[in-house]
Parts: sequence; C-alpha cells; structure tokens
Amino acid sequence: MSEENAKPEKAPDKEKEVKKKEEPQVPKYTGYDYDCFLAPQELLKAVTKLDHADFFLEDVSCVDMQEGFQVVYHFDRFSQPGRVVLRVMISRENPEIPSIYDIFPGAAWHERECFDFFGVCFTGHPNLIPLLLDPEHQGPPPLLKEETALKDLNQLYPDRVHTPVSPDSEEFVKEINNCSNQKSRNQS
Amino acid sequence: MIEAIPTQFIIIFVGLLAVMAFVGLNAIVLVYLERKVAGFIHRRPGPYEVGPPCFPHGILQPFADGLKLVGKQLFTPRGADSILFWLAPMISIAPAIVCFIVIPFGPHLQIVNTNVGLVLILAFTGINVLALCLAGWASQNKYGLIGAARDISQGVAYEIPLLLVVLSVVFMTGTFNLFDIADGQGAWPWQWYIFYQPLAFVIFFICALAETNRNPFDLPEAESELTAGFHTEYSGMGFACFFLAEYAYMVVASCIIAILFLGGFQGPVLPGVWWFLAKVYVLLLIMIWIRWTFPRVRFDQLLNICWKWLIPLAVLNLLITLAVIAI
Amino acid sequence: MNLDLRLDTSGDFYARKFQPTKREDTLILNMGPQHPSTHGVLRIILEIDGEYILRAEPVLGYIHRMHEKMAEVMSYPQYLPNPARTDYLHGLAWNWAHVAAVERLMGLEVPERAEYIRVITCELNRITSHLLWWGAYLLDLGAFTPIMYAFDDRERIQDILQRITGSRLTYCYYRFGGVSNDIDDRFIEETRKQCSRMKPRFKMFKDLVTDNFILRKRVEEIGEIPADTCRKYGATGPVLRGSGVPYDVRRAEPYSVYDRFDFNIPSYDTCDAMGRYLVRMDEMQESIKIIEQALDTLPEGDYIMPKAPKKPKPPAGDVYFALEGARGKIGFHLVSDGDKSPYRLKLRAPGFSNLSLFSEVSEGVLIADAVSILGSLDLVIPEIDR
Repeated sequence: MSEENAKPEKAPDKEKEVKKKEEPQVPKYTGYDYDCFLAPQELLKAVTKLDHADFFLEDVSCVDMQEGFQVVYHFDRFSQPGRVVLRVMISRENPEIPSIYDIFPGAAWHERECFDFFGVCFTGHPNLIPLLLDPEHQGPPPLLKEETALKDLNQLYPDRVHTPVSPDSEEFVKEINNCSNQKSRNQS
Repeated sequence: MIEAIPTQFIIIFVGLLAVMAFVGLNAIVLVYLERKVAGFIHRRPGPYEVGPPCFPHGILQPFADGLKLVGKQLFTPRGADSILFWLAPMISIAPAIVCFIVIPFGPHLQIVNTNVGLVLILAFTGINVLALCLAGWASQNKYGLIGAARDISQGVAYEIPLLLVVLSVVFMTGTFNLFDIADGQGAWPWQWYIFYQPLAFVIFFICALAETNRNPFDLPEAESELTAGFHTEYSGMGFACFFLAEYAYMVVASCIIAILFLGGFQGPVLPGVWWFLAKVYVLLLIMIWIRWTFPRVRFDQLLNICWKWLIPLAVLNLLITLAVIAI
Repeated sequence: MNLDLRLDTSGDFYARKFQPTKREDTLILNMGPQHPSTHGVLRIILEIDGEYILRAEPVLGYIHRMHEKMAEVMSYPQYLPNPARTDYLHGLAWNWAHVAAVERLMGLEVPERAEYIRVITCELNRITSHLLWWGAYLLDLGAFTPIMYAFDDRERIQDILQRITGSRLTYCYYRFGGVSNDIDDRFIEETRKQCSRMKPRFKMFKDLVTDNFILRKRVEEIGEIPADTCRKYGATGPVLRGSGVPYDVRRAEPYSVYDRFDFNIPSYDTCDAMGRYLVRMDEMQESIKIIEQALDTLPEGDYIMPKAPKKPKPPAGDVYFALEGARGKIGFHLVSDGDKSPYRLKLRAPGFSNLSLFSEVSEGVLIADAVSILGSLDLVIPEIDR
C-alpha cells in the first residue's frame, strides 16, 4: 500500500506526460516469463519443444499491425508455472501460417477463431470453417483495423527485442526449461 | 327393444360413466397433489394463487390447467401420419378406463366380477406400450422416435417381473378373481399378503413405477435429455390425454397393489371403500415422493436392473412360493 | 412417412459440413440450440447409433456478441460492465481480470483493504457459481429438488452482495485501483452468519445427494479425461483438478493477496465426472475458509487508491493477467498503444478450452452420459462465445 513510490507511473498528470515521451514505461511484471519472436517456418519446431517440455496451450490470438498480422501463442505449465509467449509475424497479403493442431489438438478452435476474426489461414488445419461468426456473413473479417489506426511494433512494444529467435538455439531450450514465474513472485 | 339389451351391458355402460368420472376426479386431485407435494419437498408453497379467497391455496389450479390444455390449438406436425398421430393418445387412455371395471372398490362396489379380472388388467396395461410407440413414430420427430424406442424396451422388459410376482400371489390364493383375492385377506395389517410376500411387494412397486414411466424411470419423457421424448409434438388435448393416461395407470397400479398386498377394501371399522381409497392414496403419495427425490436412472442401468436383478428375484420368489405351497 | 432420416441435406451450413462416419444407418441429431440441458445456446450435432454417440461436434456462435471488438471501440471505463456479462455466474472474476490487467499495465497499486474486499466478494461469487452448477447438473440428471436447496443458499449470498455492489448477477463492482464501494459491519456480520450456516448444509448435500447410489451410478466412471488430454486442450479448473493435476492459478501465479491465506487445492485423480463433482463441492468449502480468514484479518484503509484514474490511458505495451475463475483459468491479454481504449483485448475463456475436448471424450458414450459429461464440464455458453 506504499504510495511513496518513486516510479513516475502513479500520478497521471502533466509531468508524467512529458516523461512518457522520454522513456518507455515498463510494467513491473507483464505476465510473461519468456517472450520471443519466431519466424513462421520455425513455429512447429518450437511448439514441439514446448510440448516435450510439458507446456499446455493457453490460447492462440492475433494482433493486427502495420507490418502484418502478429499471431500470438501463449503457453503455460502445470508443474513449474511460467508463461511463454511466441509471436509470429505474417504478412497481410498472404496470411498463412502452419497449424499446430497435430501437436496440440486444443488449438483447433482457437485457430478457427483467428480465421474468423482476422482471416488468417492456418495450413494443415482439419476443419477451417467459421466458429463464432455467421458462416454466411459477407464482408471483411471484423477485427481488422483501418489503415490509419494501425500501429507498428515499436509503437506497441517499445521495450522488446523484435528479432526472431531460432528454436534450435540453446538459448531457447534453456529459457523454456527454466521458465518460471518465481522471480516475479519474489518481486511483487 | 330396451328389454333386449342384457342388464350386464347396462351395468357396464353406467359403470364406465362412473369410472370416467372417477378417473377425471382423480386426475384433478392428483395434479394438485403432485404439485403441492413437490412444493413441500422443495420447501416452497406450490400452487397458491389461482382462485378467489373462498378457494385458498390454489385449489382451483387443476381447473386452470385443464382449461389451458383444452384451449390450445390442436395441430398435426407436417409430415406426420395424422391418423396414427391422433389415434395414439386415444389408445393410451382407453384401456386405462376399462381397467377400472373389474376393480373391487368395496365389498359391493365392483362393476363386473369375473374370474379373470387380473389377467384383464395386465393385458390392458400392456397396450400402453403400443400407444407410446405409435406416438413416437407418428410424430415424424427424431426425439420422439428415440423416446418411443426407449419406452418399448422399458415397458416390455418390466412386464416380465410384474407377471412373475403376480403369479406368486395367484398361486398363493389360487384365483385370478380380484374380489376373491381381496376377500381372502383379513381386516388387520398382519393378515395382509404383504407379510407373506414382502419381496413381491417391492418388485411389483418398482415395476409399477417403470411401467407408468415415473421417475426414477422416466427416460421416455426425459425432459433434460430429449425435450419430452415421445410426446414432444403433442399439445393441448393430445398432451392432456397422455397426462391423464399416466395418472390413470398410476391409480390402476396402486389399486392392484392395494388389492394384492394390502388387503383391498378390508379394514377395521369404516366401510371398505374408504379404506380402499386411503390405501390407494398412500401408495400414490409414495410414488410422488419418490419422483421428487431421486435422479433418473440411465437407460442401460434401467435394463440391467430389470434383467439382472428383478427377474431372477421374481423367479426366486415364485419358486419359494411354490415350494411353500407344495409342502 | 419420410424414412430417410439419415442425412438431412437441407440443413444449414454446419449440418452440411458435418462429416459423418462411414457407417450406414446412423441418425444425425441436433442437440440444441434450444435444449433444456445444454446450459445456454449450444448446439451439438450428434451422429448416433441407437443410444451410442459415434461423433459429436459442437457448433458455437449463437450468443456471440464480439466482446473483443466492443473493447476496441469503447474506452476502458465504458467497457467495465462488459466482462461480467461473458460469464455471468462468476462475473466478479471477469471484472477483476479486466481491472487487474489495466492495473498491471499501468503499475497501479491497489490498497490492501481493497484487495481483501476483492478476495471476499470473488470467493462469495465462486460459491454462488458452484451452487448453481450443482443444482443445474442434478436437474439434468433428473433430480428436481437439489436446485431448490441450492438456490436457497444462493439467494442469501446474492442478497449480501447486492447490498454493497448493487447487482445480483452481473457485477461491475471493481474499479481501476480498488473497488467502488466500501463494505460495512453489516456485510461482515451477514457474511459470517452465512458462512456458518452453510457448513452443515454441505454435510446435508453430501448425505442426501452425493452419496445417493443412483447419482453415483450416473456420475462415476463417466467421461474419463486423462490428464494429458487436458494438457493438450488447455483445460483448466475443476476439469483439470478432477483428473489429478492440482493446478490452481491462485497458487501457481499468485495474484492479489491469496498467498496470505491457508487453503487446500482439492484434486481427485479419478479423471471422471465424479472427480470433477467432488472437486467443486470441496472448493466451496475451501472458499468459505478463505472468506473467514480474510474477514478475520481485514485491514483498515482506503477502498480505492487515492487519485485512481477515472479514464486510464495505459502506456504502450502488452500484459497478460490470469485469474482462477469458477470454471478455470481466465486470461486477459491486453495490448495498449497509449490510447483511451485498448488496441487489442483478447479474452481467454476457460469454458472454450474445456468444451473443445468434448468431441474427443464423447466418442462411444450414451446420450444420457453425454448430458452428464456436459454438466460436469460446467459450461456457460456466453463465456465460450463471448
């Protein structure tokens, strides 16, 4: 209940707005214990490694950005809880990405929902038909943003590294094995 | 011309009218009773509002229900076989009314006294299965079909232990005549056949619940699984007929139990007909009580109970009875 | 009479896309969307052979209201009432998840008293959710009475919550930085009375219902979901705990002040519907424990942080906040670009993942068992459809 926190995020007044432009404000804990970007062709390898490391699929969602669609996969673990998020950028003109249905069957519905809302095509999906929207609905997918409203990676994630990581690298394997939210628990 | 009609026919005809009045009256009382007892078990008042202050506690509720059912539009679903569709409720209720002809309500209150009264009743209650099957088939509705299929299996299966335990009692008394069976028992509880055949009583009660599709055996009309099963497509008077028929069969079953096991119209001080009605109503109350207490038995478990438990027990009962008689 | 009931080619899009198995003489039946025992508007296309289900495919979308688009169009305070409408049975949890996601992104510190109030009200809501689940499940199985008894307790708790939140079902009580209203002594006293009243009633529920042999036959060994299937589909909550994995977000990713309370995570490794049933019955008792501990140690102080933002504008970035709801793990993925409404808000509903395993689990079961399995999964379709 400490109100005397030196961080400038507390008081929403004019001083803070000036400071906002100078330094990106980072939340104490974003809920992610390992956050990485991936290339689309490496996705299945990474997900297979997560499956072997005993992770479960939380969800699959999508964010519409200037560079294209960012498909976001959230995974967590039962035995050593810690959240891993995989982000894959695909282009808007050709929005195709391999489906992870064969590894995690629960992704079937999540991917159908992304297909519904954004028009992302998951290759290898057994039954890519609309899940929530009316199948006879004519018109663009509803969650697409207008050109003027699109933001790019730096505007949305000012503090992250945006280069893709390779799932074969030791760093990836080490991170997912050690991924745990203990350190954030000790912080807060 | 009038003299040419035998008196038997006149007696039967008048008796049928009386029986229909009795069944109607019973239905009114039972509808109200069921809902009030349900309310009591659920710790709520039950029907309360219908009727002016001189008829308190919603006593006019059954009349309101009846009015509603009569006033509904009778429509036949498209594609349904309309002859069979409307024949089914009639086939359901007609035998129920006829069954009452041979039941002895009191020492001198029996319309027809035949030697095969029990056989007649068992035969007519079996027709109910046919009626429900027709209802499900003629509805042109998948849910109705499944409900009808379940009902046939259930009805046919549970008739067998029913017949076996009835046979036990018949062997003990030596007659199918209902009046003689009731007469053979004394006025006091320890002289009733329930003490000679307790297992038969329990089996008969369970089979009666199953034959009349009452909870916990009410799968053919399972509300939460098949949206009313075989009577999904019926409204208004069609539904009312099935409803009436179910209550009528319940009353018939209770009457038979009362006669076979509880001494029928025998009782200490009051005239027999009041004891008879009292016993029938106690049994009906128990059936209603069971309905609101237990969940539904699953279909294969239901058939398991019948084939694996009730039939062997009923056969055992019969063999023991025969052995005791022979000795 | 038209005897070709097998494949009704004049059906709608989903009926035409349904791929039946190769067997002949099977019946294709729609369970729902208006059906007494699918809790909400859920439609399941079944292919049945007599009483056995060969293939089941849920069809969703009958109550889809596009919450995620609404979030992008409305500002943060305008969107506050909406999350509770997704899962209206545990509305406070969804309300909390929304508010806490914004707080996490902005770094707001909620006062301790507000955290304790949030815990108490959320646990009370969890109890009402489980009570309704219990009553409705037994109603599906044909027992008409327990729902009346469950609603007795539920009404009392709803009355308690109504005094301070103003709503009985769809709550909008939490605000960014705290709660909107303080609790008073009468709330504390009534909650304590209700907790002590409920303890013997749980014993009655167990004696009358849980130990009833007809119920046990309908619920035991039905719907076996091994723990690995739960993992592949992302099932959480009582579905997972009934399969032997004691995973609870309150222990795995502690949020708010849950790490100060002493409570167990019930889990049974029978993997069947009975395991899930017992998990929920035990969870109600654990919730009562938490509430009593919270009431005993309730601190004084503010119920909302001073200078709480009325119209928050979180900085650019994204967060994920997870919460243990009555049905499982609720997740809010919030992407903000510094504007007054989110850039993207993804709601992760636990029922969505729980229902997706129904197709696999229901192969070869009886229809009556399918009804039992659906009931044991504790589905609220508006949460699944959002």
